[in-house]
Amino acid sequence: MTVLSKEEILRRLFTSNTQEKLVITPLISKSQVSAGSVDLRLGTEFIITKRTKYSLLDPAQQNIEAEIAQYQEKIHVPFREKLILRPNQLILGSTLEYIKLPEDLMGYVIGRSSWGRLGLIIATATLVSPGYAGVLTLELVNLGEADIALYPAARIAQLVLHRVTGGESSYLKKPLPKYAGATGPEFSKLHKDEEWRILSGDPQSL
Amino acid sequence: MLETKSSEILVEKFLDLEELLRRIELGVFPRPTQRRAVKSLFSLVWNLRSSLESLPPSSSTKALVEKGYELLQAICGLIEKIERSNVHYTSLGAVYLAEYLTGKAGEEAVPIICFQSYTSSHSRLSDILKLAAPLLPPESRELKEEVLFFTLPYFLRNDPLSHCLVARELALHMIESKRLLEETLTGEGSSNKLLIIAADRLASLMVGPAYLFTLTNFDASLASDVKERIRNIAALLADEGYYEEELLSGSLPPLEELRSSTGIERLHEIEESFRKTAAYYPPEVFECEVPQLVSRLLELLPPNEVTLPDKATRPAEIPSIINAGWIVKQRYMPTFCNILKVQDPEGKYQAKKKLAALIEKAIELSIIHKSLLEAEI
Repeated sequence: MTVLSKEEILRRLFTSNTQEKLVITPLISKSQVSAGSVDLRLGTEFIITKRTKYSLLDPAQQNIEAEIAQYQEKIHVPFREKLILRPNQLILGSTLEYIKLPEDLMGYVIGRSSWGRLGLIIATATLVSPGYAGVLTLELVNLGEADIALYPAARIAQLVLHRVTGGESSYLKKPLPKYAGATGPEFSKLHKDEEWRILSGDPQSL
Repeated sequence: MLETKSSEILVEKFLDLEELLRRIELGVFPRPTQRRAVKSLFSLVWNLRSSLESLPPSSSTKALVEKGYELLQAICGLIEKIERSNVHYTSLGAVYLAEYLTGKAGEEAVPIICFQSYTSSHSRLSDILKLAAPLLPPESRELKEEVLFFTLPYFLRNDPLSHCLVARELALHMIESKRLLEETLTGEGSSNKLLIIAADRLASLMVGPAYLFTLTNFDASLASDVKERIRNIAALLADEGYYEEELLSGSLPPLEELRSSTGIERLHEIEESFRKTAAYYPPEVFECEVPQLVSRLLELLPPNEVTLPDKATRPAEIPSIINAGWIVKQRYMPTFCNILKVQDPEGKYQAKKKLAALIEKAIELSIIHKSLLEAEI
């Protein structure tokens, strides 16, 4: 798997060939594209944890969806305002940009080192599947000692793109995939994986 | 004696309102506007209470207490609207749309959107202040910031395409505040009809066919008066250059002539001057942007930007985004469902939700994109 160069990323962004077209919208400035990656900005929606409502998160549990909704909450931080991330706090954010990958590309999201040096860790689940369409959910954790201010539309992450060779594995070929067309950070849908019925000993699946 | 008792009860009720306002101020709102409106109302309530407390026993007390009760009711109505405009009840897409339209119309008033009841309406903070004037000292009769409250039907909260009902309420506010039809509105029945038609037509000039689609969808029963309004809007849009057959899928009765010819002439004058303002959404912009935005939606992309001939992109206009959403909803929903590989009713419902989410996302992206370009980041 080769990493796409700046020239190839730009070619993919502006090509009229729909099979090869890479969409990152809005790409405010071409300077977001650098050697081997594209800078992505922080969106305005976040999912925060309600610390007083901690609960056991057991993906095999039947009412896990309600449990997740009980202890997490979606909030919106308007453009030109900020969100404070406390030390050791985990929140879910998303990229401002909506991404659509062609079927021959996949990507990894990584943090920008300048944020990492402040203690901000970005995207612990980084794989972006070929054919994916939507914003990218970012898991943001402050591992530093001081509070960090996060501003919507600030450049926060980088998308590294790879070419996939051999076979087709488009994300959108499945009916309504779990996170397809996401427009903001999404609550975990881990419980929708088939294996939990087996792992939890559900007799219907045996 | 009875008046004094009644005045004391009223003072207690105003104290309750002060406490309520302190609590509401702690809510989570999409904009700081709500907090400023709460502060204005708090100051008004405080002044009213002070006036009531110092009322001398006289024959005029009864009338002032009655006025106080009238104000209590009106203030409660506004407090409820502020409370229902917090992030849990409102829609961000609607907030952006209201800000966009009021900004384009050059309105100094800041909008607050809430979803409540079954119909749409609008009101102003200054209306309360006018009502309260007899009970206020002269220095407290000035308003720091005018707030325009838009109320949209509760069941439309998650339907960003129908939020263009805001355009109609804004049009009504403009007609009232600028007294555009003052000399024309005479008889009770016909003047009300003329006002409705004027608001419909100005709303259509602000957001294009999206307003017609909204009205058609909103009142699917198509009662005869709604049919007449729809026919009227379609006629205006056809005159604007939109293809009439495309706008009217069903057969509707021919446009009934307005009773007042003076009225229709005045409407044409108002429309003509409105076309010269920034609030006008010209059909040329629709033609240039909407087809591209429809194509984007059919590729599961938010319709937030348009590509120029040199392949550069620019943010799309908000009315274009909403029009594109309506066109997909009206004509291409089966295609959109096919893209998401859904066929069953639950899947189709989820597809409609995806479409709504893409529209809301596009509205936000377009606004942030414009702001960043203006700041040259």
